[in-house]
Amino acid sequence: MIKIEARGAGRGNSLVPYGHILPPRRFWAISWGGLEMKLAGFLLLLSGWGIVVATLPLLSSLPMRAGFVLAGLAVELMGLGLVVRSNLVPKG
Amino acid sequence: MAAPPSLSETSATLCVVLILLVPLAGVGLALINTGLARSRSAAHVMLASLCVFAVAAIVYVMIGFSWQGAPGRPAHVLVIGGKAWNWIAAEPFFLRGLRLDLSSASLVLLLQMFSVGLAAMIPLGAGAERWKLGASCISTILLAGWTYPLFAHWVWSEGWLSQLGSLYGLGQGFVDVGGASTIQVMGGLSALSMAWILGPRRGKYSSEGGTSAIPAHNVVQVLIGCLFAWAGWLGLNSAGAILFNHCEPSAVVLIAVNTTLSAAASVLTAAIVTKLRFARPDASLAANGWMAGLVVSSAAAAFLKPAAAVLAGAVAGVLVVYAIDILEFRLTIDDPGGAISVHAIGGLWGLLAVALFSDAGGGSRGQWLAQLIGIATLLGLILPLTYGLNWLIGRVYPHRVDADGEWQGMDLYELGAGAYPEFVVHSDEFTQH
Repeated sequence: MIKIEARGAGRGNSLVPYGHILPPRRFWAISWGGLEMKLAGFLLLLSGWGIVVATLPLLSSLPMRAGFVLAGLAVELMGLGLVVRSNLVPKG
Repeated sequence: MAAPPSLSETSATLCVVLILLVPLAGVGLALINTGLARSRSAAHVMLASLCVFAVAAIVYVMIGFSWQGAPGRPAHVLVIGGKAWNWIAAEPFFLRGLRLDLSSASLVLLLQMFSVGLAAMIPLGAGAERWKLGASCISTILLAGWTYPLFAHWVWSEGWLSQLGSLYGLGQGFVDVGGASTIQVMGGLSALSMAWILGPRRGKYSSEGGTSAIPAHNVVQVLIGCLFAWAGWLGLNSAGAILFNHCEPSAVVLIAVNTTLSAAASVLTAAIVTKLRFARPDASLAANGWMAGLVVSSAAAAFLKPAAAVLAGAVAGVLVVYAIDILEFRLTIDDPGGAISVHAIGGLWGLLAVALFSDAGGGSRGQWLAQLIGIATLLGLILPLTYGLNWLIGRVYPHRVDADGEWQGMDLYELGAGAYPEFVVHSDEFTQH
């Protein structure tokens, strides 16, 4: 394999790319892999949004609302983390 | 329902002129997406840009506007806890009953027809070189016909997000006059969904743990695209401020200054960061920095003082360089056009910058909360919705071109002819497969 180090961020100004093509079976695995984790991640995203929206009619003071909105965002971030993880391409 | 806000003749005329600049942003995005892809798919990316713009315009006019509506127009409300939440517009399909003149609703329609096209073009940057033309058009139907109008109604057509101020005392409610959330973050999240659904380009991530550099084929095209986008953004931010924030025509000066300063600070910061990290400024990353500055200005240009616009842009320049790096190398998200970093992350930063640096909402803490609720809606509802709908499309009509097509290049495989027939050698023909 020809291996030439990329300059810069490796996107815009290197002259020759290097690397292998992943075998087709692996691509199939990538597109389906981690389905349960993906589903859990998206459910957490939706749940987080539910917490945020429910905060508005259920709570009246600004600090309470702020606390629950931040909690909802934290749930969303956990969900996003799971979705990101479930979509990682296995390397090596 | 409140009476439709009326525009003075001067405001309406100025608005038309500004809106007619917006397609230049589309020209810019198309050039950037094309330049950052490989030469073997250049014509495909450009044609896809035209096609999704066309599909978006038609679908939005037929269906989308009836969900989005305009301020002061009929809408469905849901009473929750004694407060009327405005969820969705109640306009007839095919623009029936809307007289196309210089009225506020007509101008909203015109601006939105262009804006939805911009939002639809953003995912092309992430899906370049492997996303089928037909699939990108089908995905655009859902974006322009449902997702975009729904969220845009909440933000721009007196929907519940914009009413957070009047209903719950959260500053001015969720603020975004130039489309940082509706156009940029929505397009960016759609790009993220497509990057995940499509998977990386063949050869991007090796089985040995390496990440391949797949270079942009025409950085000059990318940089010219940035200049076109600048002109388009001036129109977009200014027209949005007049239509959705009821700014006077004189506010256009401040908005134009802030838009330019934000982009300028962002491109310079991106160039400096890449110079410090890699010993030379990286042209494509600097271009992404310029675009991120424009994206940030969409949320904040009408509210910031010029010094704050410089600061917001400078932060965007740093953010975009590191975000592209993290997405590509750590999170293995193959986004040839940098669409996710520029539009999603840049847009989210812009929405926060409004609360951080501006006096929107009188600098109240409630404004912070309103911006956070808007961001939570984008991440918690729009991302799963966009991903889910595109995933369903993919079960019926696969998004990704087959291996032969990717190897040949999308130009030859889907269009039957290359963009540059004189240059037929691909650099990766010299690598082992």
